[in-house]
Amino acid sequence: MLILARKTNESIIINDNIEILIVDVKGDQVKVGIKAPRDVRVYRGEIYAEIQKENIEASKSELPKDIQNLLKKKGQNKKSPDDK
Amino acid sequence: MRVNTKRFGEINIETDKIIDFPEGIFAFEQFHRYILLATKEDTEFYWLQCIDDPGLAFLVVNAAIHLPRYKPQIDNEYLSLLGVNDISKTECWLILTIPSNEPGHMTVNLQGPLLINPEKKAGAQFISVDETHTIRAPFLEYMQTQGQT
Repeated sequence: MLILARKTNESIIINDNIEILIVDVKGDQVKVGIKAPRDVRVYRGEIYAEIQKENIEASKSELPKDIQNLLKKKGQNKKSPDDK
Repeated sequence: MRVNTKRFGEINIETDKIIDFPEGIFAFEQFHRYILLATKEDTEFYWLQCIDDPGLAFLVVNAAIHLPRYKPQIDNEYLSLLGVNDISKTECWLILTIPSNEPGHMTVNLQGPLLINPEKKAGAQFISVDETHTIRAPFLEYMQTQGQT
């Protein structure tokens, strides 16, 4: 991993079209500004990691044999005129 | 085209049903081709079966059918990945996680919806920035609240 030291108001350019600007540093919190083409998806790392983890968990799921019963049981109180 | 699947063994699929996920699904970025297969149990639950890895499949539900009030909050610009500029032109599918020991506690990932452009057969996983869209929402309970008017 490339590690660069930056001060407030200094930036990093990635691939000619993405700029990461250090806006403010207070204690252990860093405010970062990101300028990127609007179709570049930017997410907080921990949310991204959580979804990765959940996807791995989800990929192990099996459909239970009694799924219809589970759905019915929960749906008992539901008043839906267009129930299938 | 013959493909191997996790739940149905080797099956024949029409190649025009293949959905391309150009950036994969988070944690499985290396795989790009998927197909939606109805589960045998006829519950409107589908398997999103990976074609590049027969062992990989996700249980998914069509949000419009099961959770009609669910509206993911996603920047329209991000949708260009699917060749659309408006979320209404996409189908929204949600991934279920079913714990084998307690299937009644199945959860639905509201934070990481899958959007598919049915015309271009292109799909991607996005992150909904609505804070109420949690990653492990109790599916059966959530579905109930969605059914009420």
